[in-house]
Parts: sequence; C-alpha cells; structure tokens
Amino acid sequence: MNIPVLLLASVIVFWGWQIDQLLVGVILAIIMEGARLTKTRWDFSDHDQRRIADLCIYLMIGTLIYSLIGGKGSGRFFMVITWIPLLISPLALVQIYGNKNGLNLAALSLLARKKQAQRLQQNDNNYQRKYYDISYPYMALCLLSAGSANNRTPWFYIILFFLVAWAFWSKRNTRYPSSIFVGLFICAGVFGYIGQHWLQELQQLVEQKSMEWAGLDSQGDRDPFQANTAIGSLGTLKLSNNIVARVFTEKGMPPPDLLRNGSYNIFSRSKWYVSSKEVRAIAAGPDGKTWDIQKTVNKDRLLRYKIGIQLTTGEGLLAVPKGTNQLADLPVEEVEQGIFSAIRLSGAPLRLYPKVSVDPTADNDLPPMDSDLHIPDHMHMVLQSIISQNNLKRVNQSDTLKAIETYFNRNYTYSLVQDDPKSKKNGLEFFLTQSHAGHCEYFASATVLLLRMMGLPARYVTGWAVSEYSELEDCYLVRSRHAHAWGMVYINNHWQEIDTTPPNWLTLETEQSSPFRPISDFLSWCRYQITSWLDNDRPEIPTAAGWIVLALALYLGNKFLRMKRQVRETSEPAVLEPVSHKRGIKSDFYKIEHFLSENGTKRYPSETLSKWLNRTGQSHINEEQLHNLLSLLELHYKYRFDPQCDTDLCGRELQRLTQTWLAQAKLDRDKS
Amino acid sequence: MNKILYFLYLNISRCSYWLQRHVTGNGWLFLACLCLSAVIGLDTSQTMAFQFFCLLLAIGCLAISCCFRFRPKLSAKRQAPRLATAGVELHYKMVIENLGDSSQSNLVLFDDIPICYPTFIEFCTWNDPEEQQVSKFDRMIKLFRWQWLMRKKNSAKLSHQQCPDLPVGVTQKIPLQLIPYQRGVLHFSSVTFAKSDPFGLFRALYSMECTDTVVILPKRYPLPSLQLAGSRKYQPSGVTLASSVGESQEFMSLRDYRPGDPPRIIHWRSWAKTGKPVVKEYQDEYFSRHALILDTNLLSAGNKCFEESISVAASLACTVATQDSLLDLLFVGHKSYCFTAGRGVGHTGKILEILASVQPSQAESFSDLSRLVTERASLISSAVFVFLHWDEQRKDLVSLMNQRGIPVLALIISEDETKPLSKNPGTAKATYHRLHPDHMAKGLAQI
Repeated sequence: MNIPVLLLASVIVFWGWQIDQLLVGVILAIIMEGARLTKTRWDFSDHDQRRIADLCIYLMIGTLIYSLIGGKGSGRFFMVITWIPLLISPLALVQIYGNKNGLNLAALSLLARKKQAQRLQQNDNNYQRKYYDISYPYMALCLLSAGSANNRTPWFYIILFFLVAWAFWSKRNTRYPSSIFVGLFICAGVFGYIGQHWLQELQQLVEQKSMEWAGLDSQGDRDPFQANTAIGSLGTLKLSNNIVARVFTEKGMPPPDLLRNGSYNIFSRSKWYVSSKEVRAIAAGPDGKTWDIQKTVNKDRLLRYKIGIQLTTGEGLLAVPKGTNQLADLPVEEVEQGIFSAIRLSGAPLRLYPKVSVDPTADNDLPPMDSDLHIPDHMHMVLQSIISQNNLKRVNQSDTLKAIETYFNRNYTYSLVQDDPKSKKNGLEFFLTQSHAGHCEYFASATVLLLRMMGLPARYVTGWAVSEYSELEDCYLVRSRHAHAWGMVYINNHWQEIDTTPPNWLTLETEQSSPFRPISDFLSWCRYQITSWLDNDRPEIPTAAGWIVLALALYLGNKFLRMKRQVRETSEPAVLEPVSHKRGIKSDFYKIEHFLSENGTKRYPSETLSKWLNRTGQSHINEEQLHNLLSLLELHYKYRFDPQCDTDLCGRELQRLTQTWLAQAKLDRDKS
Repeated sequence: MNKILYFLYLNISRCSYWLQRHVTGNGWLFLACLCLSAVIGLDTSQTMAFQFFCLLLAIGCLAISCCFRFRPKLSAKRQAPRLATAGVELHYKMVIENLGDSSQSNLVLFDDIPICYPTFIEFCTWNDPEEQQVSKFDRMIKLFRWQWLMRKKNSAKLSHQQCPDLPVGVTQKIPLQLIPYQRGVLHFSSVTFAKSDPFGLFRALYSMECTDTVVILPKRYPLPSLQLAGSRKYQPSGVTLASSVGESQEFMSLRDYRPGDPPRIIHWRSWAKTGKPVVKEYQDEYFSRHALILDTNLLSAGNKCFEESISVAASLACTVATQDSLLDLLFVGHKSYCFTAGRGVGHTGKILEILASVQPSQAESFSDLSRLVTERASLISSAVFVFLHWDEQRKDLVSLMNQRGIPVLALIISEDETKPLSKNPGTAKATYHRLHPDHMAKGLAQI
C-alpha cells in the first residue's frame, strides 16, 4: 500500500465521524490498517478483482435505487455518496490484502475490460496488464463522502486541511525545501478558508438573481416574510404550465377559490414585506402528522381537501385555503405559522399529501395594526388624485369596495406585457396613471394602497387560484401560471378578500399555454401516480432489510445470468472428446493420393499434402481439378483434426466428393 | 457537421496533448477530485464538499503559480541509432549536462516529435479501412477516423523519463525508448525538460532544439528458408559491377581493341609494344540474380494491404541470401526504380531503407513496372512478385517471365480470400500464394 502509515485509517475515521457512524469508520480503519501488521496476502486473480468490482457496483446501484425510493428530501441524492467508502471497501481490501499491489484497470473500467478481452483474444504478446494503486483515490472519495454528510462543524475544515496536507506531504516534490511546501500549504489553507465564505455569498447572490430572473419569488413560495413582485419589470411575464399542486375535494364539494401562501403589509420598492417576523411553532398531534392551526369550533361546517404538493428542498410554504384550522397526514419535522398566516414547513419529504380542514367562516388573521395603513410617500399624491377624480370614497365601506372594483374593471385591462421603459422607475404609479394594464400584482398592490388611502386597513396576499379541473386525475390542478395576488381589507370587524384583477385573467393565461400541454400533463399524471404509490400505498420496507434485499437481488441476479451464460458457453466444448491421432486415418482423401501417385507425381515422405498438391497441380492436373482438390483437402483436414467436426457427417461428405472427383479424373485420363 | 467535428477533435487533441505534458499523474487525481468536489459541493447548503473544493482550488492556483518561471541551463544531445524497425521498441540515450550554477533535481525529460494533426481535407476524404465495421453512429461522429488518422500521421509513441539529479557541471546519460508504429522517417525536433510544482501536480516545461532523424524500417516477418529456383545468368559487367567499382581481378587475356570497348580496359603497355590498341579481357561472370518486384499500384486495395506488401518485400529482401547472388528491387514511384543488393554491391539494409520510403503510385504505373521488368528479364534468374491485385496485366507479366524460363513466386496480398486464383496457361514455373493482410505471418510461413 503506497500511502503513509495511518493516513488512510485517519481519513476513514474522519469519514465515520462525519456521517455519525464512528464505529463503522473505526472498524473499517482497523481492517484497512491491519494489513500492515500481517504478512499474509491473498492471490486475487484478475477475474476475482472484476467480480468484486461488480459486487461494489451492484451495491452502489442497490443503494441508489433504495435511496431514491425510500429517501427523504434532497438528502437522498447524497445518501449514496455518503456511503461510498463502505460500498467500495471490498475493492480497497482486495488491493490491500492482495499480492498485486494494485487493481487491474479492467476491474475499474468497462471500456478497459472490453479492450483487454480483445487484446487477449488476439493473443497480443505485447499486451501487459496494468495495475493501479487505488489507495489515494479511495482516500479522496472518503473525504468527499465525509463532506457530503453535511455535518456543519468548524472542525471539518481544520481536520480536512491536516489530512490533505498529510497526503500531499508524502507526494511533494523534493526539489523544493520543506519550508516552501509548508508555507505554500498554509497559504492554500487560508485562501481556501476565505474562498469558502466567498463561495457561499456567491451562491446566495446567484440564487437571488436567478430567482428574480425566473420570477419565482413573485410566487411567494420561498420567503414568508417577503414577496418580490414583477412590478416595474419590462418584458413579458413568463409563467410555466408546471403543475405545482393538486387539490382533491370531497365528492360534490366545490374547491377553494384561492390557496394562500401568506399576507404582507409593507410595500417598498416593488416588494411586499411583513412588519413582524414573529412566528409560532405549531405542536404536532399524537400521531406526529396532525397539526392544529386553530381550535375547531364547529366540525359540521368544516370543508376537507387533500392537497398534493412537492417541496424540492425539504422546506417551504404550504399554500392553504383561508380559514384552515387543521393539517393532517403531514409527516414533517416542523410546522411554523407567521403572524400573517403563512405556514412554513421544514424537514419535509419530497412529496406531501396533507389533508386540510377548512372553516370558511373562520377569521384567523391577525387584527389590523398601524402598518396595515402604511403607504409609501411617493404614492400619496397619485392615490389621492385617483380617489378624488373617480369619487371612490363612499360613506359606506361596502360601497367603497364596490366602487374600487368597478373602477378597476372599467378602466384597467389585464396584461402580462410591460414594454414601456417609463414603467421601470415607478411601475405602480405608471400602471395607475398611464398604462392602465398589468398583471395581478399591479391590481392587488394598487387596490391595497387605494384602500389604505381611504383609511381602510388592507393587506397584500399571494397564493394560487384553483380553477382548472382535470377529468383524468379527478382533481383540481394548480399550475405555476395560476400564481395570483389579491388584497384583504378589514371591514366590519373582520378581514374580507378583495380581488380586482379582471376575471378574464385566467383565460388570458390559458391562451398562452403550450400546445404540448396535454402531453406534459399526462406525463405528470403518470409520474404522480407512481410517486403517490411509492409514497403512500406501497408496503413498508424496513430500512436495513431494504438495503440488503436490493443489493443481494442485484448481485444474485447478475450471478445467475452469468452462470447461465457460462453454461451456454461451456456446454458445447464439454461434450467434445479428445481427438485421437487415429481419427480419419482411413480418410477417402488418401484414395486420391493413391490415384495421383499412380498417374503422376508421388508424394515425398516429408511433403505436406498441400505442397504436394501444388506441385502436382503444376504438371499433372488442370486448374479446376486443383481448385476442387484444395477444397477437398480442407475438408480432409477438418475430418482428421478438427475437434468440433461432426465426423460422421464430414466423413460421408468427404466420401461423396472424393468419389465424384475420382470419377471425373478417370474420365479425363481416359479421354486424354 | 464535418467542420464542427473537425474543430472539436482538433482542439480536444491539442488540449489533451498539452495536458498530458503539463499534468502529472497525481495532478490527474487532483483534477478529478476538484471536479467531483465542485459537483457535490455545488449547493453550499447541502454538503460541506465545497470546503474541500475551495482548499483544492487554492492548492491548484498556488501550484500553477509556481510553474511560471523555469529556465534551466542545460545542454542535451541525443544518441539515437540511424535505423529502427516499425513495431520494435527503440532504445537510445540522451546526454544532458548541467551548465548552470545550481543543481537540478526531479526533472522529467520529454523527447519531442512534432505532433501532426490531420488536415480538414484528410479528415473528410480519408477512410479508415475498418470504418465499415463500426456502428452507424460511430461512423457519423467520425471519432474512429480521427483516431486512425492521428495514429497514421504520428508514427511513434514516446514516453517521458525521470532524470537523475544533476549537480553543476555533471553530464548524465538518460536511457529513453520509443515504439515506432509505422515505417518512414522519424524527425526529432527538440527535447523538453519539465519540473513539477512543490505539490507535484503540474509541470513547468522548457524546450530546447535538438534535431535528429531515425529511419524506421518496415515491419518484417519470419520466412522459411527460401530456395529460389533459376539458373545462373551471364552478367555483362561481371563481378566488376557486382563487387566494386573499378577493374575486375578475374583477368583472362589480351585481345585487339574492338570499337565500343571502354578506354579504361586498354592495356597501354601492349599498345606501346605492338603499336595498335590492345585491351584486357576478363572472365565473364555467371551468377544468380533475383528480382523482387513490388507492386505499388493501390487501385482499390486498402492502405493496410499496401503496408503489408512493403513488409513482405522487406522480409523477402532479408531472407534471400545475397552473399552468392544479387537481389534487384524493382518498383514504381514517381518513376521506375531498380536497386541492387548482394555480393558487396549494396547491403540489404539499403533496400530496407528504400522500402521505408516507398509510397503508393498512380493507376497507370503498372505498365512502367512491366516495362522495367521486361527490360531486365534477360539478367534475372528468378522473380518474386508482390502484388496488390490479380488482374490480366499482372497475369500477363507472370506469363511473360515464365515464357522466358524464369521461375516466378507470386504473392498476392488481398483481403478477398474466397475467389480462386485464375492463371494463364503456360505458367508452370510460377508458384502462387494469396496472403491475407490479417494473417500475414501464417500465410508467409506456408510459402
């Protein structure tokens, strides 16, 4: 093993510690390092190495499948990486305890395996098997696996630094003094430490920018305390047809019109914020999957829905109807609710199917506060002039609402396109005074600010519209383009929703959908059915048993196939009998030899049949006869020496052809 | 499409060559780890692999920064043989001397043969003979063709060598080896010294001019003892031509001068005595003279067949005993050529050198070759033909030689083994063998 003493063991223990399996790490390290204490070595042939490499591959495939099926959240993708040192440890042990000091390249690469087989088949004498020391690659994999465990401790970098330095020390260029190496490595450590902070900041920046670019934050499904809008953005607002949720209702019951992500009450620079980031943790019920948002007053009035959603990062906002008071079948680690009603989940699996109980009459929102009347300074004049010009303020608050709705319906149109550069500076003001066209965020923001200007507390709400029924799936589909924003106004001591976006907005959105939507919907449904079965209906598999069964099934399946193949390959040679030197000694071809010897040239004792025929062909037989004779000679050789030849069949054929040839030759001789 | 593929392969090949020289074995592992850690640590919130990536990136940057300045004061001189054989490892030495004022250690030596990349036209028009055997997709992406062209255009594989420590003023001999893939002339252009960075990941290179040439002789096959039939023939210039330039030692008598006699054989003293020109007369020489006739006309035959025909000719040239006979190599290139070896006239090695440079000829060249052979038929005791085709022209040539009583051994190198060889009548003194380019050694063992 071409690696410093205890380096590999240290790395393996480090890996074990990082993945919270210290015992596994220690045992593996002892086994690996123990090779130095014993001189016993095994002779693993190339074939053995390949088989063990195959075993490792099957173990990895099995783990990958199991992690994809049984894992939770995005962490399942790193599950295989985390366990790689253990999964490929048989291969490392073959090298360490083997007598070849390396692994054959054919064991590591299928391409090399194919090439080696070709070279061996061609009896290439120049071909030399190459053996590679995998101790350093194995060590590197252990470090990468340790990193993928995501054990966020400051010791990770420190220990990583020393382990890497140790590895590099043994491979350093001795041309330079040790002090230079040490100095450079310390510099690298410092730069690496600074670099990782830069990298984290860079990632945050890239994520933020890409979200802004993709318009994902406008859907408000990421941050319960902030809702970015596309107000002031130029170009066409593009939203996809991706299905983000499925809403199942009880038989005959209507769906909720809207699903809320959260509400916001501070408007500044095209963004909505909450005035308080206070959240409360919601306690789980006895089964760990039921979460009571509010106390249920009257169970008879409850409407029940099932919502199927997907959370790619394991956390996010849950969009629920207004008045939700209980979430059931929600296997998450934590549920929090902001004071502005946003429900945030964490530690969630990839797919969720919560059952939501809704009391449509309940008013769970926080009573109005001063910030619910906040208006940005630059908007005062615009709003005031609109209110006064259009006489929007009425004595009765309900009439005021109606006046606002009428005002927007009559004077504004729905549009996803903003192409006037003037709208970039103050998009909302431009919308109210000049363009009179925009998407739901414009309408909702303008409505909320107008209401506030008239002294009515109002909030901005984001969420989804539920309107598209799928007969195929027997549920309501919520697509990415159904993202919506509306207002909430406090009238007569309770919060009331107000949506001034022209009702035809969904129709306009639908017109922009892709012609391939039915196909993508069907595929999405298929995927949903499979994942739903995997998540809910499949029988439970104990974790350890699942691992073992999957890996063993793959390995044994392959072994079975190989056995069958080997049986096929070896069955024919197995029935072969050793060729006796007496076989075919009475071949009919010797009659031709006798005939030609009598009539032409005699074969010398040391002369081969082919040489003799060529010699005879130059003088005593014509070209056609010679050609036929050469074919006969080939058959004769086959009959005499080919172990795979069917002697009876070949003998009969040889006899027939010989007789034909002799008859023709005699005829030619008589003629001449 | 072809342009894109060509551009892609050309640049990948260049990058690959550059990386092979600039990255050490440990460096490749380092780069693999860097890429893996970048992929796994892409999301800094999901794993800690990004810390590993940052550390490796910092190490890489420092390592590269250490590779910028490298100007060793060294001299190098190559001690390579003039001749080598295709497919046989060539061992030679490089003498290097440290002329600087500091010792050099852990240097790696690269011997440089300029890399020849296929041109776009070659990439579009040249066909790998085995291209039809690969899948349709492989044929479409033309990767196999590129690899074949690279192998064809670059005739040797060089390996680098670790130099021993070089104290100031010390000279060291470093053994090197290379494997020439194919016959031809190998031009060495320079020699490159490399030192790796303190981490042992990347190399800084320093090249110095050091030109040299090695002739790569064709690959040769073992042949059974070849007994070429045929009587000895009168050679007009006798052993004079056969052994050396100048007067023959086999003096027979003096006779009167006849018009046309060369002035150098005039016996001046006899002329002075007799008053009329007298010349020296030498013993006429009779000895065997074999002709090795190489068909260089490719027509539809593949390049593989042509190369194998050269190898067969080289094998025959080495097998025919030239102590007692002459061997003429006849072929057509840009014009007709005839080279003679044996009995001290020329060494077989010369013929091999000529064969190392033989190129395929034009379609009409066979008539030139026929003419050349016919002209020399009176001198030839026996003829060995190495054909790439078997058509009427070639049959006629063999018949003609037979009619003049010259035994012929005709070797036809062809991939098509199914068709029987048709022969012209009256060619009893001709022996024919068809050889498959994939089974040359086997085929030649049977002749």
